[in-house]
Amino acid sequence: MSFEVPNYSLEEWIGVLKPYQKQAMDILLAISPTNQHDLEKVAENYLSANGPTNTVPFGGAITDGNTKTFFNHFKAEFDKFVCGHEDYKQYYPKLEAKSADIRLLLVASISSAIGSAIGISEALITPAIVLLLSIVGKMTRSAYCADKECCTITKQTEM
Amino acid sequence: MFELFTQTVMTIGRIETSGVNMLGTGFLVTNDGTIATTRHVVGNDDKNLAVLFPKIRDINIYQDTSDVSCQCIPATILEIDPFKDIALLKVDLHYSGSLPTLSSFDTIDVGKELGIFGFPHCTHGRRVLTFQKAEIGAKIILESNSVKAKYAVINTQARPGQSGSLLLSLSSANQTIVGMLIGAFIPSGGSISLSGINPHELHQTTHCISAEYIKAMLEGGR
Repeated sequence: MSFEVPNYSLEEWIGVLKPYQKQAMDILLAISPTNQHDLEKVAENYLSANGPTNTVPFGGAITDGNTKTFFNHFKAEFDKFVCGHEDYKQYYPKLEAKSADIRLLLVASISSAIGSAIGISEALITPAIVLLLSIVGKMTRSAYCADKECCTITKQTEM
Repeated sequence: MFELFTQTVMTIGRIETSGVNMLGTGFLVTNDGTIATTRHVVGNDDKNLAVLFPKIRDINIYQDTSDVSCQCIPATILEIDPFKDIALLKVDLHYSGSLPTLSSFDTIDVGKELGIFGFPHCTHGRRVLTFQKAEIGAKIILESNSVKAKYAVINTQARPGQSGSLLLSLSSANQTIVGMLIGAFIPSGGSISLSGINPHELHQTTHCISAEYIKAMLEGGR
């Protein structure tokens, strides 16, 4: 299994988002520096948004209020996918296809895989995945995975 | 005049072992089955999510509140804007009639009257398509994690089940949807419950998002 995350600029990664997602992301990025730690924070901010302030909803499902726990769970699954975890091995062959735009293939595959794994709509997590992929692309996959807990599994499964 | 809305305003629910748990209101925005509602109505997961097919064709008939039968159409989440609390759903249905255009609060002045179609109290098992009128009391900007958007305060008290209701401009000759009901103002730390009712919610400051953001979510492919 082998796939690479290309080293595109942050702007190029954000370019795969839909206009409404890109617009929100541009606002979040404008108020944050763009080093790795802060990009993770921006991804967390995107996922923790919960409608306008001081507004009580009238209906619907009560969502888990612990956004930090949710983000950590999401991020752990992202790391597992990128670092070759056994749980996601069924998705990897598709990533080897020579796609016209590898960004779209990666974003769609990872959103779908993680969305199914944690029971969350891919429409919500796609922008956060785009940000995290930009971090991986800059570092290379092996460098990104080097200090990840799931990397021990990665080595066993022949990245 | 309002027959259209008996077919395009629907209840959103989740199918559970005990039946359908009604969550709120949604409305058709494309002829091929895209429905707008609030994100908080559907949550983050579309497992067992469904739209309840319209039950009446005439808004003037007496809606039988003892009739709990329903026809559910499975729904998937197409788009989510977590900042503006909007979700777009996709269901397998086709509507051949003409749908109202999606517009904006920019097109309507404070003091003008709006029509509201929704299912108040559907979260308590009562499924009654209800029409209400209210004036725009103010146009406001609200923020969510630093992202600001346009809302209106409408001068009516909303209740659970009305999230996702459509707001119709009554002042133009052509019917246009100008917004969607999101919830009510609540002061910070204002969550207390007296027999299931939060007294801080009992007022006429209801928040609605401008429909231009729904339109934006329908535009532009990835």
